[in-house]
Amino acid sequence: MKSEVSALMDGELDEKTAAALLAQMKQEDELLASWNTFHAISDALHETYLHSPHFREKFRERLAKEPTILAPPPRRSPKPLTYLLSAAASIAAVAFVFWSVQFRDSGPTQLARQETVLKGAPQSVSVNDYLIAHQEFSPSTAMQGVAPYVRTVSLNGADPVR
Amino acid sequence: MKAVILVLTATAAIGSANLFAGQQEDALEWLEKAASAARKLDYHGTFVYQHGSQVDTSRVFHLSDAAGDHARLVALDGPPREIVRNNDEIRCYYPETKTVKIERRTGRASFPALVPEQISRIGEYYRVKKGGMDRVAGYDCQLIFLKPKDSFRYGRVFCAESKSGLLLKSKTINDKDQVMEQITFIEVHIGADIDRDMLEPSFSVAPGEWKIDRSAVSETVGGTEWGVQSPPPGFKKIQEMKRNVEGKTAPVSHLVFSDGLAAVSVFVEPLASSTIAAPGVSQQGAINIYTRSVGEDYRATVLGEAPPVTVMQIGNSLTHTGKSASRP
Repeated sequence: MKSEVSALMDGELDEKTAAALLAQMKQEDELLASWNTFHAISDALHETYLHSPHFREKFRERLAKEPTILAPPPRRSPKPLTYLLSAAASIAAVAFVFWSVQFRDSGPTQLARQETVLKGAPQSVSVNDYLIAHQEFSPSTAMQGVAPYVRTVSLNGADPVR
Repeated sequence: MKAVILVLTATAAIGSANLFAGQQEDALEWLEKAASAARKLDYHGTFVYQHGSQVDTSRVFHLSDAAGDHARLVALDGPPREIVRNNDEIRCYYPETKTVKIERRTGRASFPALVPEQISRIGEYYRVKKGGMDRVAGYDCQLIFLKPKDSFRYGRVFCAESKSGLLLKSKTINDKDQVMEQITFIEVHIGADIDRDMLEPSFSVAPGEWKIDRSAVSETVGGTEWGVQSPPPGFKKIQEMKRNVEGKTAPVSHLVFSDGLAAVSVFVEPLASSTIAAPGVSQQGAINIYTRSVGEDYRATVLGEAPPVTVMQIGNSLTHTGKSASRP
């Protein structure tokens, strides 16, 4: 079960399995605790250098051997998760995966909860073009250089599921 | 005695107010320094872009020389995609679909700089303060916090390298103190030697094999038929133009609103040539996207690094000024 949770985190489950697992997670606190744990670790880790290849796989293997929970339990009762999968390359549209976890520690390290779920059709390649045009005028681009353009290359309609 | 206490309190109050103002100015200067560093420094590095629970790693190269400003962004996760910037031309390479998208702005100098007028406006809508020091990618950096004064904008945390001011970490935070998106360098070499071939794309674009998509932009300030009646406080129109976009029969009107730090763009196109489907709100990292139809003939897309309420208010108060007032 735990391995399925981490597989879900990495986007390795197909839609059916993922949906079933999510439904289960809404019911089983233990599963949700695993979810929180993995994200807590992942979040902490992303503050450090990730130079070694296959870091996530190696870490997951090591984590599987550790029975202790490394993160404190969530402060509030778990809320339902919202989940969308990216569409395949043959469809000229992209759906987004939004999910979030609430952590107990304060400070802006908590990952965002996306309250606004995609309504209507998913993104089209046209919006990607608008994003590029918009960033030409954003002060964020002035301060961060070309880095904000990563939003457009991480979002191309031709992206397969990751 | 009372008078003395009063005077002392008043002096202390003025003193701390001045101190606060001084601190804010100091913090704002760091933002100017960051903008300058992004434009003038030679550097390369690897950064992670976190949004939701997704983490994308990219490499970036930047060179400033006599010919101008050059940069290259290489996506390291998933299919290889790259962006190459040379002054006001941006080329996006998508090898999966063998497409190069070229975006060029005419009639402007280099890419947007933070002008002093913008910087001072930031202080009106954000509480700006310097934090302590942090360490990112092996460099000491100065933390700068921007807390929004209302719910129409997101908060920011920046960490600027202590000598050059180059931003090594940028976080966008919502009102619940949650991180909408974060860009952090995990390794960077400031002042490194950048070869010109580091700025060349990895793909050889063979004409005939690759589709080259050009979008010519003609800027006509104040040249659109559109206006926004009630933008949220602080959001001023900073740009307005018509864009000729490949694949669209009529020009797309583009308006940009900004509070000095965040920007929101409005794109209005005739409905017949629109490729966007149903209206709605969606999100990508710190960017919220709102699409709606305007009357029967137009589609508006409003997007920017501001909360949903902001993009929706701008989108909902969009009016067609070119024709009669009764047209929504």
